[in-house]
Amino acid sequence: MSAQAHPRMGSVRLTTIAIGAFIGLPIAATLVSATTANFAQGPWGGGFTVMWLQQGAAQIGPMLGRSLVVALLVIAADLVIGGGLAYWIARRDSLAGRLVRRLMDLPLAVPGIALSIGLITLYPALRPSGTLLVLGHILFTLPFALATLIPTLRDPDLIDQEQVATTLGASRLRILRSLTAPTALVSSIQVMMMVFAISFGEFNISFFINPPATSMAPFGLFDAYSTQRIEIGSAETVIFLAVLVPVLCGFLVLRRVLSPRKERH
Amino acid sequence: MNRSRGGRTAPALTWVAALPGIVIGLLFGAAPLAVLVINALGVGATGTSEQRGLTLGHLTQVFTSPLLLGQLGNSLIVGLSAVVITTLVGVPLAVGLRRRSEAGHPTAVADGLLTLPIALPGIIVGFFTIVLIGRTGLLAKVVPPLSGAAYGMFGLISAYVYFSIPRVIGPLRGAVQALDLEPENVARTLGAGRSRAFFSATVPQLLPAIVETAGTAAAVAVGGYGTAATLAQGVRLLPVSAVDELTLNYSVASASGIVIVLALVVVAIILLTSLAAGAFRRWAA
Repeated sequence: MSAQAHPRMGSVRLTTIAIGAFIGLPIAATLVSATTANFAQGPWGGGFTVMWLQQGAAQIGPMLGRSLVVALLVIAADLVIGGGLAYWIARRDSLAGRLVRRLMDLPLAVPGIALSIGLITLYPALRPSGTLLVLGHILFTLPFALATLIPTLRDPDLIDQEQVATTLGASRLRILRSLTAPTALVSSIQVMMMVFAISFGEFNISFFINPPATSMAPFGLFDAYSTQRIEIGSAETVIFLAVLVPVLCGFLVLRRVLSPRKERH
Repeated sequence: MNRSRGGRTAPALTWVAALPGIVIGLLFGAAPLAVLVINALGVGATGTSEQRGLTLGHLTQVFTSPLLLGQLGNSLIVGLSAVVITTLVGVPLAVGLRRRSEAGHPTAVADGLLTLPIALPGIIVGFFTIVLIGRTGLLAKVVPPLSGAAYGMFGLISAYVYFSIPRVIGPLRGAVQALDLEPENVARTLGAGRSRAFFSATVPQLLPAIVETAGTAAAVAVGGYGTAATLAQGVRLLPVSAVDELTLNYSVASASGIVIVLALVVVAIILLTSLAAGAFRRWAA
């Protein structure tokens, strides 16, 4: 290392710390606000309390459960539907494949509220049951699932192995189970993590689609932000993060454990 | 190479597995977009106070109404300046992080922290701004002029910077990883100053990736609703008015017109930046 390089190391460290503080500070402040009796009097003004957390948990608890169920449904659908679609696109370097890819990437270019307004005007009948919500989440998450799965399924090594297995007389199901699925395992974990984060926090379509009696967690948060005390909004945010972050960490650990050694850092 | 590609390798009936996805894309992606366009032209669904009939008025209102035009301007100012600020900080940071990791320092904590906001919904990012610089915000206690700043331009831009950090720095980290840092080292050896070497040797190589990343991030920021909705008390952004048209005024056609214009703006940002990135790539080659 030359002596010249050191100042930059220092400035990188400083910038990282500054951005880290920028990202971490509001999270810490929300934790403070959630445990403060009266936030208008400053941090822990009026004393420390868990009252808001209890009240917030009672309000957002059922919505968190619903959001978890929806996220699991969307993950399962994305793996099956996205898996099939990714396989087809990956093995077909055709115009049809490229057009379908463009079609599926639509939600990346068109803002979520635009598609949501279109969806509720087109399918009002699917709204009360929550079907439209789940289908909307599938639509919004599929481009991310495809972006991860298509390159994996396009791997020339996998294609060669599948051809060898076919030549040797293995059945389609057998090839899928013992060759294709294991190869796509790490990508699938990546997809599950991404889809979970997007679905669990999705606000645009949840705002329009769900009836008020069966709200999703992000809608509950927004409702608390606009109609209730800042302490309750903070408490519900803390509880939301306490569910979201461990699940994401779980997926990260799983991905790391299942990654082939050469891919580990 | 070609032997293992192409239609021959796809077993028959693979399209059956692809069908559900394509149906969802058509029925729940393309169809609502078409309906939105029809509504926006006044010949589809209309609200109780809206006249049915072919018109461009629902689209052009964004440019003829001073209120909406101002909000479109706000959306562009907030989205673009947040992404520019994040990029200005992000490029040297991404290069620095690569050098740090090559020098044997761990960067996992930094990378984790920089990625975290991508999992947070926009409404939470908006709320964070209120907790810090809202009327009773924690930072506002220390710096009184910041009280209520959450709802002004400063608050919105800060919130959108927070929102954009993972969306800008993540892809830039990937691009920097593939970068040749030797020209910069050579420039330094030949006596160029640190920033001169960085700007003349590294930035040009990275320019296509910078423009592309910034374009994608700006598109997400300009089209985003959650953060803008949470901070809508002061400066209002265009997506908030689109939603209010529907939920408060029940004006389906007007709301459709506004979101179509919003979508066109977002698509224009993506197209322009990817064209610019392509031009830079050809120019560099």
